[in-house]
Amino acid sequence: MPVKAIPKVSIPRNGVSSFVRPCYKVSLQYCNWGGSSQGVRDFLTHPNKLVDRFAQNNKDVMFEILSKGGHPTFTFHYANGQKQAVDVRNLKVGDVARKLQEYMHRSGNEPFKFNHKVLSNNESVRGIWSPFHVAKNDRHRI
Amino acid sequence: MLKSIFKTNVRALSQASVMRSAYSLPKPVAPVSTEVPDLKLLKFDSNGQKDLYAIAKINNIPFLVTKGDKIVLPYKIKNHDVGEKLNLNNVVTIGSRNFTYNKQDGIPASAFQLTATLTEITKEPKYYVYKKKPRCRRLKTVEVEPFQTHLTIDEFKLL
Repeated sequence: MPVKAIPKVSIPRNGVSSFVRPCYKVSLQYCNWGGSSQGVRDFLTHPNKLVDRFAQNNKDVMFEILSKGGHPTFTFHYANGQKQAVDVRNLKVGDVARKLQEYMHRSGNEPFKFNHKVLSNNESVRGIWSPFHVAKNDRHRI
Repeated sequence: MLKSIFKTNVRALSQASVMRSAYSLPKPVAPVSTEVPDLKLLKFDSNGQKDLYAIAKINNIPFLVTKGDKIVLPYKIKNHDVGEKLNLNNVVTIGSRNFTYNKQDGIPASAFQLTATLTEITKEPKYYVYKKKPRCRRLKTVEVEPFQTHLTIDEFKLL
């Protein structure tokens, strides 16, 4: 009788042995005229070259700068296919940089409230407790 | 000692408890804190170190983890970037299905390797908190969106 293999589906677990940053592209869209884009314009033309520094520190993220009418938005593209547009109108330079950093750290998954400590896909390591697996002299006697 | 246990015709289910009681006969001497403990039984029992768990402490809060688990911390880890590997060196317990090695002041770090990848820093879903001040009938509405950090257990093995 041939031995049948037990089929197992592999689970994608980013971060186990290798890690790929989920955010791969950011497009920074601003308006050259509007007042709500002032913070983004300051950010792009900052004497400390903030955008250059961001790009240098995050070489696995593609930065795209678009000049377009309307309020400024940053669009973050994630590896799970999600695209998130973040409104950055009327923000100061520091806040713009913080927003950019914050959304680059995300994975694009839905945010969730987690009232436990550990999320696990593995089977219970310690097993289910059973009274019959305890040695006879260790069992509770009434 | 182990061989003799396996030779005896004990039921497979109760074998573990027999092994456990057999091992506890020579009372283990309290090891010196720097000394590497003998974790041979854990290595034997853990299916090639697959079924092994550790209780690691982060900010003095214990987390029971196996390899591949995700720790969700309800705050933002500072001074670390996403993708960094963190070494969890404060481990109190290492165990398998049948055996546990427990040391409250920390198992020496030379006995195991436990690393986690900082995979994500996000926020919890936004909710609103209504604040009431005395002698004012209006309620203040405050947006709350707490930070959340995800650590994935990248490597866990006995050395």
